[in-house]
Formats: sequence, C-alpha cells, structure tokens
Amino acid sequence: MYLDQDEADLAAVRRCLDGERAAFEELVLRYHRPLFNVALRLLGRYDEASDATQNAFVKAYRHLDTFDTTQRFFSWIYRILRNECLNALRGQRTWEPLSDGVLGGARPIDAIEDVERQRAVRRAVMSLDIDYREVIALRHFAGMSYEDIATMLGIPAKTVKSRLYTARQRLAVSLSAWNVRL
Amino acid sequence: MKPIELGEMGSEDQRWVADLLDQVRPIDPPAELTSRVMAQIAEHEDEEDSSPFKRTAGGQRMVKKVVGGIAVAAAMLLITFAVTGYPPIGKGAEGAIGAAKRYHADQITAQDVKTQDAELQAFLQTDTFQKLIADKTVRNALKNKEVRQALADPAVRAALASPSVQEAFASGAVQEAMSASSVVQVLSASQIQSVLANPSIQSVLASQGARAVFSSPQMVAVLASQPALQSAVASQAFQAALASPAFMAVLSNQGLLAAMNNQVLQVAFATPQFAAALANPQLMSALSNASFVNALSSSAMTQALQSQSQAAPQ
Repeated sequence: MYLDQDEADLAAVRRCLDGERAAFEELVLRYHRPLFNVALRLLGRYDEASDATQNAFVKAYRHLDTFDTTQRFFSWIYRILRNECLNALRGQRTWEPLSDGVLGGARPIDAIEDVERQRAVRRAVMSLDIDYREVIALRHFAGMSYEDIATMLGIPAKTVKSRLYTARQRLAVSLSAWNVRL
Repeated sequence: MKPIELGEMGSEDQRWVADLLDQVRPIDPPAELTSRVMAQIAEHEDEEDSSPFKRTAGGQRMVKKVVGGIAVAAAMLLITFAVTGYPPIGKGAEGAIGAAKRYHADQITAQDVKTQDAELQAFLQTDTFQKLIADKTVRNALKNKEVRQALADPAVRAALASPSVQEAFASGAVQEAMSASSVVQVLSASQIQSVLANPSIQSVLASQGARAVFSSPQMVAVLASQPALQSAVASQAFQAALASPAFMAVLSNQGLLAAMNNQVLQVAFATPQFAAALANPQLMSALSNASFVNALSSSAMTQALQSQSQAAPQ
C-alpha cells in the first residue's frame, strides 16, 4: 500500500516539477487531513494548526525541487510542518482547549461522554512534553508505523517505541478515570 | 478511584491507553484549506513570473520548469540542428521527445528557419519542433545572451554535431534523465556546456559506462545542487581525470555519490585543490575504497571540513 502511495506521490511531484501546478492539489488532498490533525495535536489550536498546515504545503511546493525522491513525500512534508509547529509553539504562551464545536459528528445522545472523553484525551496529550506529544500524534492520530516515525524524526525505531511507552504511561496516569468506561 | 502510579503499569495499561487514543476521531480541517493552499501557490507563482524557480546559494536563478519533459538542452540541441541545418535530425533525437500535442506559437515558425535539406524540412513540420518553439522555457533560453553566444560558439556547435554527443542524447537512459528538471539545470549551466564542447569529454560520453554515471539521478542531483561543483567539473584537472577509467569507476560508486549529498563535502570537492588532487593515483585509489568513502560522510569528517572552511579566509 505504501509503495503504491509513494509511486503516486512521486508521479505527482514529477508532474509539478514539469509545470503542472494542479498535480500538487492531489498531494494536498491526500495529506492535508493527517497533517492538520498532527498539527492540531501539537499546537492545540485549530486556527494555528490550519495556518501551519497551509504554510507547510506552500513551502513544500516552493521547495519541491529540493525533495529527495528516494524519501517519502509525507515524511518530507511532515518535517516542514513540524518546523512550522515548533515556530508557532515558540510564540504560544499557553494552549487553549478546542471548542466542542470543532469535534463535529457527535450525535446528541452519545455526545456528552464522547465529547468529555475526547476533551480529556486532548488535555492529557497537550500536557505531555513535545517529544512525547509528537510520537503520540504520529502514531495514533496519523496512523504512522514506528519505522516511518523513526525516519521522519531521524531517530531509531527503538527510541520511538520507548517514547511511546513513556507517553502512554503518563497518559494512563492522567486518563485513569476513563479506563473503566471503555 | 485511586490514580495509577507510573510504576504500576504493564502492557494492559499500554493497551487501554492506546485504545483510548485510537478512539479519538480525526478533526476535519477547514473545508477551504486546499483551495487556500492552491490560491497561495498561484499567487506566489504570479509574483515569480508564472514559473516555479529556485534561487541558488549564489543568487543565480535557475529554470526548473520543463514543459512535457523536454529539456532545455535537448531543445537547444535540436534547434541548433534546425538553424545550422547540420547534422540531420536522427530518429533517436525525435524519440527523445516522444509523441506530443501540437502547440501553436507565434514567436518562431518553421518559415523563420532556413532549411537545407528535406529531412530537416520534415523535422520542422513535426509536433516535436512545434512544441519546442512553443515552449516558453526554450524561448527564454534562446533569448538568453549566454545561450546564444554558446550556440554561436563553433566548439559548442561542433560538440552538438558530434555523433557521440548525439548518440548520448539519443540513449534511453539519457532521455529518461533529461525529463528531470534537475538535469535541465545541470545542462543549462554554461560550465557544463563548455565541458560538452571538449572533444575528450565527447569521447568519454561515447562509453555506456560514462552515460550511465552522468545520467544517474544521484549524479544529476549532486551537480544540480551545487553550482560550485559544476565549475569543478569544468576544470581541466577534473576533465583530465574523467578520461581515466579508474575515476569513472570512482564516480559510479554509490557510496561516494551519497557522500557528495553532504553540502560540506560538496564545497570541499569543488575546490581547485581537490580537482588538482584528482591527478594523484593514491587519492583515486582511496576514493574507490568503501571505508574511506564512509569516513568521508561521517559527522566527524564533516565537522572537520566545516571547521577548516570556517578557518579559511573569506
């Protein structure tokens, strides 16, 4: 699956470099959702996550000629997004919880507990240090494999697993109240 | 409920936390995010003369837009043939372009070019020629004083007329490589053009091995990324080294090509001292050694080179 995706990404990149701007839209459509969600978990603010994602795509397009085609496009653009998020975090003083409106999709009957649980998870994740928050976001909110995360962050897969373990340990402490309700 | 202490957790705790995290639904990004990205890109391109460009470290603007995979170098080659009428366009060169839609342009027409033989006249009627002359990149290249001077240079013309260069352009590997914009950057560089004009390089290009080396994505990427390296390649010492089969073998070493992606090494390799050192058989032998190449790309070596370059007078 990854290989097919990589081939499609590479083909779109080549078309962009050949002057077909519309080919980039394929990449935006394919990746804006996972990238936005990771940005959201890193930044905790909807508007900032949106801006960071937009900036990452624009920068990626402008520097597409520097993309190493032996790498995965998602890994490359994630590193751009990560820098955007880290820059945004430097300007942040405190994070603000997302309004319940952005959760979307929850029906009135099951909405209350669902919203509360999601809010608790978001708060717990946001309370983690950025290194732990990042691996949680990539693993659980972007569905990346350990190996992909390791490649993206430039760290060994072993370190990814270790960070994930520690992060989940800390989350278990802060989310213990939700254990019995699953 | 008593909160869990960190030390009390086992794999079961890991599992329920993972499950809890996986139940968090993704949040939809703003509906207009994609359109905003594309609009910003379009706006940026309009500001940048409608084409994606990159600015190199030296401030030199390099064209990266290639319409339909046609490289500027190929365009220059074919138009030079068309203008000079010699040599006739071979099937191989046409094959490099492939089938193309007919484009219409009013800048140059077949009637503007004086033809000298039937085969050339036939070429001027082809989709390939129509597409070439309709290509903004080609037109811009032809407006470029340096390009025109290069085309007027008998040595460049001789190079382009050389069967070995034509054969190289007609080879599948080179054709494939020429569809990459980075190859355009490399072949558009005046230094590289002068290298191609060198008869000894033409004879080097006649070998399959040399073509494979110079059309490899790694080599192209390395050359495209560092104008200083292009100058290094144009140096007499480097060209002399190219004639050596041992050096060609060194250049095809994937480890060395990977190491040359290191910017610090690129700067080091582009120095005249390095080009001169290539004449040294011991260096050549060392570059063939995988351990030495690995050492070159090590962080310790990079730091050492960096400190050397920082210590060097500007």
